[in-house]
Amino acid sequence: MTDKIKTKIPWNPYFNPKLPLNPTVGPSELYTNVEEVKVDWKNIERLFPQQTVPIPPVKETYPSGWVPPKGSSLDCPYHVKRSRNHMLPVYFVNRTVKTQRGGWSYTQILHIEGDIWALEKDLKDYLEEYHQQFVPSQVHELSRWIRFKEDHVNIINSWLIEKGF
Amino acid sequence: MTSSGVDKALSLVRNLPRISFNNLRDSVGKRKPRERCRGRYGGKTHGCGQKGSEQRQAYMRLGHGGGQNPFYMRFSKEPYYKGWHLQREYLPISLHRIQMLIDTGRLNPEEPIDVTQICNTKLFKLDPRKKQYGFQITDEGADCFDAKINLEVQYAPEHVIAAVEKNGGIITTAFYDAMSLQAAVDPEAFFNRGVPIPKRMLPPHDALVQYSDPKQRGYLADPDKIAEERFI
Repeated sequence: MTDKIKTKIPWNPYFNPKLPLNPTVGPSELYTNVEEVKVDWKNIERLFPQQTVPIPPVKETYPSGWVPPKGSSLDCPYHVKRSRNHMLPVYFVNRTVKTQRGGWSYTQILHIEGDIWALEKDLKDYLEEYHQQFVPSQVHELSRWIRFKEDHVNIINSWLIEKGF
Repeated sequence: MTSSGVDKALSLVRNLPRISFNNLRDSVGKRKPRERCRGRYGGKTHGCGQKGSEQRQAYMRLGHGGGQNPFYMRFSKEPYYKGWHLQREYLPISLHRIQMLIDTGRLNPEEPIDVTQICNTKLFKLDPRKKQYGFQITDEGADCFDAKINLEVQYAPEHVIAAVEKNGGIITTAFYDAMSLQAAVDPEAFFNRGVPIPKRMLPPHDALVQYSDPKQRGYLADPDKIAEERFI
């Protein structure tokens, strides 16, 4: 059975670039003159969004507490890449499961490059020393992320900034 | 050695396999098959009673109560959704977030920052069709706020106004009605429609007070009074 794909061809020349915008019908003597007015489109152009995320400007300090990535040491066997919005890829996920089991929450670190197990070991040691408690973790080698149970976002963020990621 | 009931129970727990659906079943007699209405004792009226509305299957509706005032009609109802369609939602943005956006270059502090500019960062989803009427600024990060900006939002509390004006900025609260907000949120899509720019309507009655109040820097307030408030 063949699937019929319905394609709507816009009849309106404003939406269909193939149709002429101002088609001339009849002799050209009947048409009045056109005067192009010079308009400063600046005020309208500033209403449109940027097409790409801009590169953050270089400053000495940022009042919001945002820290740009400075290069980590070459000895480091792993690297954590920033997200497309120049933020650290550490997220706290709180899942509410509507059964008797209750919910579960974890901190997830994405965009890991290099030796993922080494990063997991370093982070786990740091967190367990910080909390003086066992911290369950999960490593996904294919998708390149690590999860730690419960909320460690701020701790991991400061650790990653120290490392220079 | 005599083994007590407790020891026996504990040894069971130790030795029996893990409970799973494979080794569980209902107790005897828990599920009985349905008895069909056939034969000498199941026949004649077949469980429907004798004459009346029940045998004739003309049942009354659930909760009817036999003609007296039914239970569900004896008490007044709770107006849970009264005025729900008139409620306005303002999405919260913290001052810390705005500072972060300015630091990373997403917002330009030299240009006025209003609904359009905030939506153009594509980090906030404002849908006027969901009765979301704009943004409100929360005072998280008011201590570290350090940018001189011209901010226009739909609501801002006292702390936020103080934080913005402390750095020499200007803050106003303005109202956008649904149609003009639709144009402001996505100007590109609006211009593509080819529709004339709609006139921005005045706020509804319950919001007029707020937008005429110089303390909240309303856009309808007297500019002299606002200047006075800034001085205070």
